[in-house]
Amino acid sequence: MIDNPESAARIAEDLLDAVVGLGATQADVIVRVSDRLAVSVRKGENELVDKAHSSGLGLRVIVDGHQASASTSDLDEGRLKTFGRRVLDMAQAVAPDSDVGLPSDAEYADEAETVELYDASLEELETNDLVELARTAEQAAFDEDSRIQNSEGAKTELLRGFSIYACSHGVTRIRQGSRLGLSCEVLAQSPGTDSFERDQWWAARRSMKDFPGAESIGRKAAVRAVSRLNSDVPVTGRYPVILSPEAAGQLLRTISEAINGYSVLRKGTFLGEALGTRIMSPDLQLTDNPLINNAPSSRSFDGEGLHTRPVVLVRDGVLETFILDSYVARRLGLQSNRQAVRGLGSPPRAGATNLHLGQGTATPRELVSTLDRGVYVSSFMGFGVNLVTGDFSKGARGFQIEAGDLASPIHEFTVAGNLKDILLGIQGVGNDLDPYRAVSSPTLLLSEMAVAGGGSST
Amino acid sequence: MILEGQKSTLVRRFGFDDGLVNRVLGAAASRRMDDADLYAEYVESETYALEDSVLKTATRHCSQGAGIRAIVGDRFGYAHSNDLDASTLLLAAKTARAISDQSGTLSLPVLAEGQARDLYPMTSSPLDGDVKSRVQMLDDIDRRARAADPRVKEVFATLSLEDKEVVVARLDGCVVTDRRPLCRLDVRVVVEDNTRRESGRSGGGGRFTFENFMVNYVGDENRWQFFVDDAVRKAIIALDARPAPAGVFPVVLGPGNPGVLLHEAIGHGLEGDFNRKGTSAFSGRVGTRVASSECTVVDDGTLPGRRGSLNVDDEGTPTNCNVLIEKGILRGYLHDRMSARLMGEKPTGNGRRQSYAHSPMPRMTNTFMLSGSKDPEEIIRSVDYGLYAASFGGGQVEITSGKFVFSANEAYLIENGKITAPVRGATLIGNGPDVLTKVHMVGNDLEQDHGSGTCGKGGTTGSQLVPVGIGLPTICVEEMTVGGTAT
Repeated sequence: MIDNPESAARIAEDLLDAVVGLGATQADVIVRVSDRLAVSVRKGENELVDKAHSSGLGLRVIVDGHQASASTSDLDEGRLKTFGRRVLDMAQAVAPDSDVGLPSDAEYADEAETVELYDASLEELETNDLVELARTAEQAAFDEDSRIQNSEGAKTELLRGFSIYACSHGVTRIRQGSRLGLSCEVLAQSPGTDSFERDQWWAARRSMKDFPGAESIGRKAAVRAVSRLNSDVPVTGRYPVILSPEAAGQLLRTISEAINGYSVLRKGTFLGEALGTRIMSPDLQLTDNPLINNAPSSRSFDGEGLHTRPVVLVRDGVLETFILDSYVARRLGLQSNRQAVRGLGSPPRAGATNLHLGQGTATPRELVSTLDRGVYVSSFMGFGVNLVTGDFSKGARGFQIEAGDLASPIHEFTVAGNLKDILLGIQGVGNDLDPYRAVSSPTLLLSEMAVAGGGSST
Repeated sequence: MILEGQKSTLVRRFGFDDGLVNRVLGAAASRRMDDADLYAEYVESETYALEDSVLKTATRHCSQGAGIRAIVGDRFGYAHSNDLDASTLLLAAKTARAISDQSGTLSLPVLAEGQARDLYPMTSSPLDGDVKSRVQMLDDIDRRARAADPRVKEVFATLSLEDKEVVVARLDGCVVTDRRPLCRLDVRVVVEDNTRRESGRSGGGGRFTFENFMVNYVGDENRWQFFVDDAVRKAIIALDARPAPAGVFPVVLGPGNPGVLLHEAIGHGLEGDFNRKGTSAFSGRVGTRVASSECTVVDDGTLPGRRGSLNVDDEGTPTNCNVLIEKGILRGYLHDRMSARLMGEKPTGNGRRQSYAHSPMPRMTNTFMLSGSKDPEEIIRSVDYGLYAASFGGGQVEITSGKFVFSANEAYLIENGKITAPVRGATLIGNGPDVLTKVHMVGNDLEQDHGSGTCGKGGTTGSQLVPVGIGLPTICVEEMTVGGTAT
């Protein structure tokens, strides 16, 4: 069992030597080892304790432009050599591609920036500590409102581990990480009606520092669940829409696929030809920042071992670059943005870390007050996006906006439009960005969209 | 396929024999345990991806691991590791047992009776055979797609092959093994004409080996040929699609993959874990009407060779054809051993887990509605103005409020009883406990999907994906909210 970074690095380097010896022109290896402790508490009782140790290795080999990847969790030295040989055989079957390859020596030479990813004091937390956090959150939810009568539970999860990157350019990188997460999910029932709703709230950090209080997480889950009781269905029509940070984050997740270099390469995005053009209001910035201290998605090096840097994707509304790893950057004739992500057994792909839409100055309440009539979307449901055309149609729930205020809760409706128009139509941005979420946006005020609920206008 | 000892990789390579299994279970059990199990798996898989008319990516994945569970009442301890040596497993067993410091009496769930069966006999592994044959099929796919229409500009195809071996050993003495093949092909094309660009996708597979993609499937096409033609057809149709209407309309669902309606509207809401906790919109509703009397819906894990089928579930219980809704009346839930025990019912063979790193939960297998008596043409003719949805991308549900969505990726207007213009993809939204009460016409043309469904569900040990099947005859839902843009 591997339990320290140095022995993992040695296994990685030995495997690299072996495959280079067998004919690989270039190769890289990732090793990931983690320990997980999770507890779940429901109605005050311990429901589950889950403990795990896992380790895995990913290997990529390139032989004169032929590339193949594989992963294994069997780290026995002898079997790893056989594994390496098999991956080399697979590479022969793949068509050569002159653009595959490791980043350059110059790119590897860039210095690391510091970022806080690991809190050693978390190693001292025990099962009972995690249970206490979960119990406190859930109790606070029950105490918040008498209509909270049932619960799916509160869960605490603690992860500690390390990642190794090693490549045939002689680069070896090690990073240690930790993550503590707490979530609470409760159910609200309206007495005398059959209105039955659930909602949840959660937080995660890399350390106990700045961790929201467990009570606050439970209370927020309760308030959210209760606010959904006795929802109506809105009347079909066109309305201006305000997106909560959660709904705006879901929208942003779609945009991140639309500006991914691989979507551009595959002609799979409506933003494929939009580089250098204005795609949003000139007040808006979109950045990918891997160096936010204490944020769960931050990292010091990417899936190809390059030290990470913040990237401005949209500046003053103009699309400046795509989300790129070194391969897709080469194919598109652009500079790599050190945004490679890596599943163990797969070749690198491009992906963002902390994708944040720039903070505005208005409070969410101020944004709502600008509308005489509208729809506030708390969250979306379902897929419903055609990335090639930008067509967007998703289920939603939220609140009616009347005379500048949130009115009755609404559900069972859809919101539809085209992403090109939605982005250009962003009218207002709130000041409530959560910097610790991986895909994060403040409250957004959008232009009119088609809302389908009860009735129809045809 | 049911394995014999020496043919098992787990036994040969990792020494995972009866003696070890007994010692580990012994370490996990205590007098006060209600249940305990040991689950081990060994998985090998390969993926091949075609892009730009060449084999672009080849990846291979190998993993093994074991999970040990100790259960008392509604609580359990779970420990897992990808290290299969004895000392690690014994430690994991003791860790799992640590939860059971509560009192409780030993009570075992009622064992469900079931025949030994082999729904996916294997004479070879899906991973046998050389890479050349995979590359050949992908090349043929590329050529056929590009030849189908000059507007086809990009062709992507992904082939995934998996061979998974599992061993489940339980405190009550049951030990089962199963070896499960799983194959899947996805084809996606991008088409362009002068003004627009669109894409279309198709695909499927099942629990069989690679050669089955070359076997005759629909008309005179084999499987891969059908998927290519279907993807191209959908993409070309999409070039002419106009905005879908917005509002409440009658919706006719075509046979096959629109069965995702059932999966989202009622399937998840009938999973036993939600119902034993009382958190589902269907809790406490067994014996009541939840659909029109034309609707009978089952979850059947015994269909040979299908993606959602299993000989035994991941707790060792043989799978069944479970009647969920019979002529509109809710008959029962889908159970794993724990929800069955807590609700005083029999396990239904629906205890599934994504891998050894996850504990089981009630999950669906193949979920479909039985054929009715109507001619599908008659169903379409009955609609003045509405939507005909032939194919869907996916869906989602919130099981407490019952709200569910599913997103059409091939749909048409129905005008005066005839299918007319294609419309852009739209999301449909409804309420699970009543959507099937609005279905009064059920066609005689039940079809299963092509075998590409993956179901995601969040659980106590994290979000878990399992392969599933869906099916439906042509039906008309009298009222459904359609999320178009044309208001």
